[in-house]
Amino acid sequence: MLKIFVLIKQVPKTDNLQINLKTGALIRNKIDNIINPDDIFALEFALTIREKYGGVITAMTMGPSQAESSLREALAMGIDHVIHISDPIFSYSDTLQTTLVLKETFEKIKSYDVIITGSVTLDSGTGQVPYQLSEALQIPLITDIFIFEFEKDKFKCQRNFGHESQDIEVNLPVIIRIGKHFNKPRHIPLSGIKKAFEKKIEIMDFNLLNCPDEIDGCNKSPTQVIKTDKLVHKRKNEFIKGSIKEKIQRIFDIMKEHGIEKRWMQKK
Amino acid sequence: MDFELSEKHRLVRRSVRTFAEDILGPLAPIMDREAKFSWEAAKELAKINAWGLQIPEKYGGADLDSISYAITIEEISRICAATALTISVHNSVGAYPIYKFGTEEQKEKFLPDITSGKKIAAFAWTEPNAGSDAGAIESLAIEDGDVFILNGSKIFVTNGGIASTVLIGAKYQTEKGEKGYVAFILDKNMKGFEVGENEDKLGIRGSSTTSLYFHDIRIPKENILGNLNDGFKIGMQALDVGRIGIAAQAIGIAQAAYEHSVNYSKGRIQFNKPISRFQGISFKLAEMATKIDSARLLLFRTAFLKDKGVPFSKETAMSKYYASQIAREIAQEAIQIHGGYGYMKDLPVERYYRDAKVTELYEGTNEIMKFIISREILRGNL
Amino acid sequence: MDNLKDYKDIWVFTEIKDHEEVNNCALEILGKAREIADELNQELVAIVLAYEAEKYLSIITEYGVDKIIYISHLDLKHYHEQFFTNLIYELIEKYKPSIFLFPSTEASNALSARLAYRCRTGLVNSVLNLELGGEKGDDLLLTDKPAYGGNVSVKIICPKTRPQMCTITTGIFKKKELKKENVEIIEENYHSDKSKIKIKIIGAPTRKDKPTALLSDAKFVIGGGQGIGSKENFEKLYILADYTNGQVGGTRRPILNGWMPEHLQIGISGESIKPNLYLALGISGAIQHVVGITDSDTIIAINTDPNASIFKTSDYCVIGDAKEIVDGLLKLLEKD
Repeated sequence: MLKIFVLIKQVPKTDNLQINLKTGALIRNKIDNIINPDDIFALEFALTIREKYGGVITAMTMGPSQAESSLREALAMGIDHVIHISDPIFSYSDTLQTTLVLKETFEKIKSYDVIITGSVTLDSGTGQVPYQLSEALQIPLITDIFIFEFEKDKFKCQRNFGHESQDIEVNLPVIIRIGKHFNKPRHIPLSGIKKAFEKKIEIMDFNLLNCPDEIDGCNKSPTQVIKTDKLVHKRKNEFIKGSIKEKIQRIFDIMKEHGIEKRWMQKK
Repeated sequence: MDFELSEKHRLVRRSVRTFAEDILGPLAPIMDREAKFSWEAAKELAKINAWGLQIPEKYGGADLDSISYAITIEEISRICAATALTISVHNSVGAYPIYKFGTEEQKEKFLPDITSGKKIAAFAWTEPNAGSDAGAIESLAIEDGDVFILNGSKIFVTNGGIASTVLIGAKYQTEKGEKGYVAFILDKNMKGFEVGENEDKLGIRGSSTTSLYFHDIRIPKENILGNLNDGFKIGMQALDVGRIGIAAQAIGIAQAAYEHSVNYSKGRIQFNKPISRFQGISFKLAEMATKIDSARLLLFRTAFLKDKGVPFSKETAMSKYYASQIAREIAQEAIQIHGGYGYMKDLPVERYYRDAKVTELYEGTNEIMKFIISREILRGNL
Repeated sequence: MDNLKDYKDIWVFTEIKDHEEVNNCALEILGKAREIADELNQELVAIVLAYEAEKYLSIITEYGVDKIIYISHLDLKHYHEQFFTNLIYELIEKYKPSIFLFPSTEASNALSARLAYRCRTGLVNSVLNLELGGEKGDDLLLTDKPAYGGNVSVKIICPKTRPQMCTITTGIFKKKELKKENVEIIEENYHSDKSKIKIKIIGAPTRKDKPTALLSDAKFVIGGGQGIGSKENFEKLYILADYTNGQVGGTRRPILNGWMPEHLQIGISGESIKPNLYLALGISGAIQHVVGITDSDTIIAINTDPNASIFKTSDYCVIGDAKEIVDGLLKLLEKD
């Protein structure tokens, strides 16, 4: 019976963001809060593992009270249990603090086989937590998988690592980071919604987790945001002059500057 | 009185919107162009329980409250009004009457296939000589032992070409000579049940609309819905619920037309500025926003009353007449804002215009809606 | 945490890519890091972990470093999360750098995140800008990075812990060649505990390209419009995309002409894209298309008409024939 955990984060939907330019704070009243899009692929992955191998899936999120709605959404998708990690002292946690809290959480949970995460969050976009959690719990992190299988207490898969494709085998527990579009997430069945709002949500706070002193999001996060500004994309409108050959070379150089280069193998 | 949507309702809106944009988005123009309902869409709709929205879990439904229902129909309609109509009719005048008026045997027999989408439901009342004058139907079921023999025809039946379970209203006559209106649950495979061709419509072309012909259909008495003389009552109550779906459908069309108008006017540059900076255009957007918000709030209040269990016929008539009227107005102004581009089939705006009109006609014309409202008013229900 | 004043010098992880060459982005970072080192009057140090690391040292000395600390071993041929993290963590403990910069590559993103945890310090990724804040002589780094889906830019500092770590993407800084006299070269010893390896590799790995992304997620998009001229010419766009792991998209006209399928349309009734680079070839720049490309980091537009409206919404404007330019790019790629 696989014990599967999915880490999700609630983020503001970023289409039409407005910022109070004086305080730098996000004007939040009209913004919808959604499950971070990458995390939905992680939830879908968990559901497919359960369909194939059986198991219990718990989704967890660390966030303020409004993050509860994302846990309800996870329940509606078919997740079995949800945990809300929440405490005022966790506010303003950066990635390091987040990892430290998650470390305490998993130490409390004690028994886990698979921890699944998405790639990057829409708001801060650091992508650091999966790696840092791997360090904190001292368990391997596997990314960029394509074919996978669970066999007793082992996880086997084919994955991309650098420029290689490897066949690997790891003993559980393991952290798996799922990439964008790894799967096609199922749509939420409306029958799940009513039940999702009736289910109990487990809350874990600072005391329950028995957190050490080093956990204090506001005062002990190593990184601090000191200013927020609207990012305006102003186009340069720079005309490239010269002979056709020179123009082609310049375009080629700009392509290289953007990390675009010849791929290793052609498809055709 | 809290005017904010609850978290649950927001989740319903978000999840149906995601589904609609993802699955129905690419299919909507094809369904319109080919005038064909998409069975591919039907399968996907089954996965989100769209075929059993307000039916309880016991019979395979999603057990949604009426505001969630309205939100679901609106969000589907925003992408594809034809699909929204198909779902709405199936749920509100197909499944609902069986749930409300059926015996336990009938519910267990018919509802599971309906809520799973295995069998699509329809409701046929209108006839060539009986539109607004609903009492003038001529289809007649005559008692013969333990069956009723039905002859007659129906016209403009939504889902007619795709439904397996069809509720119909007919006049009846017993062996003793009693007369009245009866509601039957028919199956399309019954001997003598004939489905006509799909009508070639101006709008909602992806929805199936046909005539039905009844040739000496022998209907067993267990297929009578409710009591023998409940036909008219069932028909009218079904339409009260149906109008919530139609109002939602109209609001979805209006919302789509409005969003396109806002985006287009912000991007279209003429005389060196976006046309949204001209009040001739921005005032139109203001009117659209106000009309949609009003229609939606009126509809939510109607849904709230229905769930509370109090009479809501007046409110549902108001919701339907107002939402359909503003949908047509907004769709028209949307084309005006888009100018020539709005007239081309490249953009979906012209489809919204064609789709909107019918909402003022079916499930009771807007004239009948005003008749219902004024009757209530003059009875003292101000 | 020990005294912040004990930490000094600016480190740059000079990643060696696929045991083939020094990562270009790392060289770009050295340019900026040199400026910071000069301002603080501290040393710029390149950190190299590789197989036959000595091969790369001379190249690195051309980019203004004061010191190179390297470890060379067969096990370091490819990035390995346990070996690299352990070794560099020990180097950090030993030398106590104040600032540690990394190129934003798959390996370095992983490595820097793990190291930041080990050091209990802050890591800011994909920075747009680096400068020194605080009083004169204070080593506090001010970094700007995009947030909230790229709509917003946040300024971040790491005042209480060291080293201050950042990852930087390619193209933010420019390479600056500068040969310093007497670059100090330090070789540190390799050691590892192979018993602690948890990931077992079965069989020989094979070389693999990254899968091509969907149009809406593609990092490089090549857009074609009416100006491409013919179906034959349009086919070249697919070849260019194939060579570079890019994606082809376009406007309505190519669809109507039968050059391109419907789902590749970019614009108001199609996809919205957000690539690092968008190449608009033979596209006039009508609003219906432009609304789909505004999130591109950089736009290069090519059109024969000098008054094409696409030029108003582009970073680089090229008056020229689309076909000629695509042919030229293909030739340059073949040579590469």
